[in-house]
Amino acid sequence: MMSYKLVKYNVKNSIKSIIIYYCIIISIIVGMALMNKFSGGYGYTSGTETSSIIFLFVLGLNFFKENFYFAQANNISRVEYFKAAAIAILQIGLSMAILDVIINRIYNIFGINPTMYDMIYNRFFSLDTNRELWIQSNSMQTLFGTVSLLFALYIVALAIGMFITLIYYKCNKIMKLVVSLGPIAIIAILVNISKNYPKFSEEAVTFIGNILGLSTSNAYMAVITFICMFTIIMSFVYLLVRKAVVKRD
Amino acid sequence: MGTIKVTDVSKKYGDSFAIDNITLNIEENKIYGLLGRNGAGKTTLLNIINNRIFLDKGTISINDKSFHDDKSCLGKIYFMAEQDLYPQSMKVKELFNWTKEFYSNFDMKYALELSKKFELNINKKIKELSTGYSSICKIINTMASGAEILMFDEPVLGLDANHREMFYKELMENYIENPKTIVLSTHIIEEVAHLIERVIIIKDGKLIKDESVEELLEACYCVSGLNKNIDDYIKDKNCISVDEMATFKSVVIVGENGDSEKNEQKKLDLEVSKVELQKLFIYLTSDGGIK
Repeated sequence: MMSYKLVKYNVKNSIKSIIIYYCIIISIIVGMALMNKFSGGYGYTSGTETSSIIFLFVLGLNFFKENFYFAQANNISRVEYFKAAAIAILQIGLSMAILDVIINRIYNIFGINPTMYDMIYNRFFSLDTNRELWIQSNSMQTLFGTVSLLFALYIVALAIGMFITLIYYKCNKIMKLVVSLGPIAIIAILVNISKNYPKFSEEAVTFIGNILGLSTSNAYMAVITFICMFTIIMSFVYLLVRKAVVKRD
Repeated sequence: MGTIKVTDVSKKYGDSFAIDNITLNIEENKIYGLLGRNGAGKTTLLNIINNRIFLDKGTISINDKSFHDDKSCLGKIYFMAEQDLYPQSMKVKELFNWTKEFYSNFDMKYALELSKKFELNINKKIKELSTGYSSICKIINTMASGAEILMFDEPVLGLDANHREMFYKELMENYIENPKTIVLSTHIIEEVAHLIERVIIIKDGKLIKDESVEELLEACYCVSGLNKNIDDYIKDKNCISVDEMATFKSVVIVGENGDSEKNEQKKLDLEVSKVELQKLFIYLTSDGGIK
């Protein structure tokens, strides 16, 4: 019961940032549509949802501390806090996925803006060579597939943001340094592996292609993979939240 | 209801005990004073009771339910922490609305009434409030929460004398109208001495006193008079504090003030008065006191 009230708080707390983000996005889109109209050009943009992924990652980075402190001020248990955070992430992810598809469909009236789903999982030809071949599909399958893919991507972006914040919140200075250098070390190792073991890296690319359904053009494989990723990340978030305490300023 | 049972609770930071094996019962509808010197472990104890930090050993139950059995039992307490836990960009009136969401018995009318009395601008953001008004905001939110148990950690921090007086008055009125369990952790003992019924004194993480203020003060008395007479009187007595002013002395004595003592006081022309809680506290928590 308490977690639903906290969900309401979490969502309301994020809504201002989301509105500002959409105001900016809509302004850019309107500006581009007007430019297309007056220049007589044939404007082309693609994958604008990437900006939503970046925005949600940043929102995730700011999703923990204030909400957790407020939950603590109201003597709400950590478990309830975690439930509320997870539900709020799902709500925000789904709402933004639907909104982005609606904005995309409206924008496509004035220009060309295929989504990531269109480019990766639908029949899509490069517009430089086969411009006239891409036609926006509004079939239920495409709409559902697009929303599902965006939803799965968005919740993962939010969860990763929250997870990183929690790691930094819980770690001491040395651990923070280790965590910060971690991605650089991982990239260095991967580059090294791909140079020295080309077969291994080929297999890794094939594996990633399979789990994201790239080879079979099956978006639902990617949706399942991202939902699994979300579940794993949120499990780590739970482990960190379970023992989180308010820090003295 | 509104009871808290703390059993064998310990909390260690590194090698030192912040809380060392404390056992106490906080009874329903009583006002407690949680006293101790700086770093004695008052805030740690309150944080442990509210599960804001984790205990290393022991159990805590609220209304006979442990936190592990019933996660919602913490909702019976509203704990006004010294730290700012409210979102800084939130307006005071929004804070009241949200507290009402989490505490169903929150009395909005009372909160607005108190805001008016304390001249707290509810349209201001939390970050725009001064230290004193930040405390006032927390006080009002706590008092109007409608929780069965109210805990205040240094509630009068940054408050001027007028606002402090107003807080004590409002707290008493609120308590008389709707009795509840109140725990006040403060350093300003003389100001709360007339409010509190029971006192919990902590020293170096250990509980050294948990009894009614009346019993505690009855166990000692204060005598004053001429230096020479006082010196004669305290010869065979347990004297815990001496104040000297020119030819006069005032001393605090632990022990019963029986008939023989009264006769002696009369003979030596000494005046007897009640001991101040603060004086007793200083003795109990000083190095010469209970260890």
